[in-house]
Amino acid sequence: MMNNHKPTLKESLKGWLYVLPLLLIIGVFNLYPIVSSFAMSFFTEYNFFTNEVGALGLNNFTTIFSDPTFHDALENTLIFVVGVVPVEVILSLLIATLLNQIKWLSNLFRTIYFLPFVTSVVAISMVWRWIYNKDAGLLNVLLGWIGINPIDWLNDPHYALLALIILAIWKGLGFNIMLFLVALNNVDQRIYDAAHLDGAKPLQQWWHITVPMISPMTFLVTVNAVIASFKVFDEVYALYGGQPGPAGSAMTLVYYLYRAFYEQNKYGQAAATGVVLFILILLVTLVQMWFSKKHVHY
Amino acid sequence: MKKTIKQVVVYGLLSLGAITMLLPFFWMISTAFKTGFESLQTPVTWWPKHLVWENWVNAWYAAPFLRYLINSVIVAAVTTVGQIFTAILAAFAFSKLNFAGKNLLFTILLATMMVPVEMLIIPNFVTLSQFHLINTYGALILPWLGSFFAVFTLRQSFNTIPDQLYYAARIDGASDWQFLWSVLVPNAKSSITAIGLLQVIGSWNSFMWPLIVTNSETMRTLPVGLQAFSTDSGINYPELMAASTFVILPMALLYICFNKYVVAGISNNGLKG
Amino acid sequence: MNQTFKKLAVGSAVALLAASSLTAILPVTAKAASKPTKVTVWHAMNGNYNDAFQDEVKAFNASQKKYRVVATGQGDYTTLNQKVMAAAKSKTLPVVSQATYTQVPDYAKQGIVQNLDKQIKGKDGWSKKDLKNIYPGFLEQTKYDGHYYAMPFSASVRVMLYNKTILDKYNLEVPKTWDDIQKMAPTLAADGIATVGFDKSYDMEWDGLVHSTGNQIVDKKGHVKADSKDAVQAADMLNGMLDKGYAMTAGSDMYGTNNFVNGKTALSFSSSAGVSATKKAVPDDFDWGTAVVPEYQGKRATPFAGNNLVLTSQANKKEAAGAFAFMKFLTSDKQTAKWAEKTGYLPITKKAANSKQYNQYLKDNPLATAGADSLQYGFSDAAFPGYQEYRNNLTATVDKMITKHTPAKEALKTLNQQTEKTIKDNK
Repeated sequence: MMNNHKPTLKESLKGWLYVLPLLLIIGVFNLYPIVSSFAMSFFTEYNFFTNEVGALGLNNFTTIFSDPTFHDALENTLIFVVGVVPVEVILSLLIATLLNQIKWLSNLFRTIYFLPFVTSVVAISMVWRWIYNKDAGLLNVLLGWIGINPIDWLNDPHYALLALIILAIWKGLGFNIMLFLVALNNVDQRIYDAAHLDGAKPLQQWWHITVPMISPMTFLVTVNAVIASFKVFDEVYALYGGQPGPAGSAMTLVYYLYRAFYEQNKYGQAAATGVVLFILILLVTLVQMWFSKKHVHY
Repeated sequence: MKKTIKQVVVYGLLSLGAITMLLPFFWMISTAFKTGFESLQTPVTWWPKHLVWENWVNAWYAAPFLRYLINSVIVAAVTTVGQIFTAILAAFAFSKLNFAGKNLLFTILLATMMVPVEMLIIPNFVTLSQFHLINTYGALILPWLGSFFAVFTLRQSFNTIPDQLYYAARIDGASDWQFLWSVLVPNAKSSITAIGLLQVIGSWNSFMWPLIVTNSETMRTLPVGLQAFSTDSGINYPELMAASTFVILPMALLYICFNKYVVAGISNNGLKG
Repeated sequence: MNQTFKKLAVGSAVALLAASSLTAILPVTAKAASKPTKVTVWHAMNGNYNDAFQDEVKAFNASQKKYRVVATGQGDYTTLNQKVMAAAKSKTLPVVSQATYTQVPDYAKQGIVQNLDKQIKGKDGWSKKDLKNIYPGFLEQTKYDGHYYAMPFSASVRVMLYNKTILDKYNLEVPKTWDDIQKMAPTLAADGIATVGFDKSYDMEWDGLVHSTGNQIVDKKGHVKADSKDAVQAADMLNGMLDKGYAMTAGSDMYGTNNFVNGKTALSFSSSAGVSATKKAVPDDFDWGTAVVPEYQGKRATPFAGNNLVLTSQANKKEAAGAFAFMKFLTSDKQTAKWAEKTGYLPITKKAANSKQYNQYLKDNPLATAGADSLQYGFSDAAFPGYQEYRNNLTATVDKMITKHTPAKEALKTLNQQTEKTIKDNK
């Protein structure tokens, strides 16, 4: 980016001053609890309510790593992330591109695509439970047309995760489309005009101008989608009525954490799960940042 | 001719998608008019046989929704304005200023997004109770005044404005503060509106947090009112859907009103030329 | 700057100011009344249950002058539990909270709740006769490690719903035993009707069957017998019925209500507290009834579920006395009968269940009779620290048998090992 010289004291002071209000809030309500809960992951004998720590160690980590349910959670979460993020990002970019092309009824269409983001989670999960219903569900009716036998989406452990992935993609679209729309509108029209004069076809324009011009937003959307997908919980809870899918087939890391913390009073193990999740996301994000240095154009 | 075909395809694809997006919304309203049995009936009925208007009346009186509405408006408005303010300042620093520890700080702040909110509820409750803020607007608002996602989005937006412009403004004698508010902010208004909308909706729909940090009815927000329909004996879907509809309707209207700012891009501002 | 945008910014700023001044004006916490001791109560009763609970509170406040109970709903049991945890950690617990009986041992172990022995044995407490008046199953739920940690409050039991139209059509009687069910099932199955409908899981029914054989899955001393011969046999029977289409689980519907009201099942096992919801969900011409659960191997047993009231460890002496007075008021024969009539829960004392007033109510509401008749067959699981974890494992085990067709012997053996570990870890 810009000015790579070593900042002076005055410059640094000014920079920190601008960040200060944000830092105060995030420091108190994010950083502090994160640090303290990370510390908790090393407390092996611990009374959560009186804050008495009896012993320190790595027991919480060895316990979760030897728990088969944790392995399932880890595996499911990774599958979920890989299943959701690419499709969600590409689909929302495509829809945003289409929405950006139309004039007639454009406001109506944009509003409709944004509705799922506003609609109540209960209504959404009800509708999707019906869509996934084995006998009368919409999805099986559609699949029947192309000769696929009915699938018991919500009760068959083999399909539970897929059902969750489809729901998550659908639910995340509105949010990402909005961000892409912002980015598309910020692309200077004159660049397209110039390209048009040079005889570039629409598809070429999209690939050679639009995609690189909005790459900062694509980066942001992807990073955010990865983080959000790793933390998936609400969708599982809503779709499967407070259980991690049939026979635990939609158990995710955050579900595991939630259960350990709020249902089983295993605070140290919950914190350890949080640490593992954090490290995983951090690694993936760092890879993304490294990748973005090469491919994102500012 | 070719253009018409293209238009038909575009509208066709968009309409197809629009139908799937509308489904739950339609479902919500249709269920709100059904009898209890019809809401559970299989095969499903798309349109209720008789419109049961009482569901709406019952739903409205099931909880002090007016009071909840006032609280929701206050909380959403203050949270959003406050959050945008802190985000603008921080995004400016990350985009245009040079200061020691900038990259490290950015990474650390980004890392705060990586921890699930489920881990933060109890420690934050304890913090707020030490500040004696439980059961106040403070508890509903304070923790949400800083959002790194908003900072991140705004920084990406500020980054698209050339640094040369910043230097030029400085040479012309404009202060950082002036440059921020008279050049950067107006140019990023579609991003600002977008993150504002996302925040208003997030705050409006948030359920867990208001329930956890408030103890009395008078401090609660709209989504908490939806709890009245899930009792020990089961869920009253028609009334729940009626109540859900009046909880989310303001948000849908808000989006329609603000949509034009989201799409009002760089083409109609003073940056040109 | 664009005009509209500027207006917007100014408008927002005004809203911000207005809001913050409002914050200052609005009362932040209710002022405590001058004289009576305030007793705060957190509960998870919503909708009409909340109304009924507030009526109880009003009646108590009117009945005496020393204490004033202030009760507020805190969502469902899940959110209430989270709030209690957060409040325990920040030392802002209310005086009394509702808690599902499965949570009581954990709360007791963590020091969130107070032992009630002193109050119960004290001069304003309960005599032996009073204690005998309470159904032992409910009393059992309130104990941990031999001490009382809760007061029974709202209680329910598993009952059986039957679709009279279907039974009449096939000339069938309401089954009295599981053998009867097995006999009638093939006829109905031939027409695509499942005889028995369960909720998402059949764990409660299985628990009942195991008890009928005189066994316990976990006994009071913490011995685990989840894979005893009788337990495996009972699970085998249920799994076999599911395989043959004699029974169906609710799956993603969660409750069996949907299948039942749509005529897909002839019988449905439900919580007695769910009867009122079914009443709302059935079409007008639906002919149905309720009955006690059928006998298994010559005996009947049906698990109680209940939500108790606990006294938190952060209550002072005066508050504790007020809390106990309130609890005692709620468990009095008159009030528990009233509560049962308003909510469809069961009265927790024998005298209340036999009272004229309650029997008149049953006469007027025949659907509620099955619940009341089940009281004598009810039992409670021995709750232990880590019980919630055991419940999670139990539902996962049943799920495995239903969806993955894991043989009962194998699945229950795993459950047995898991449960033994849970009990050991939580010692």
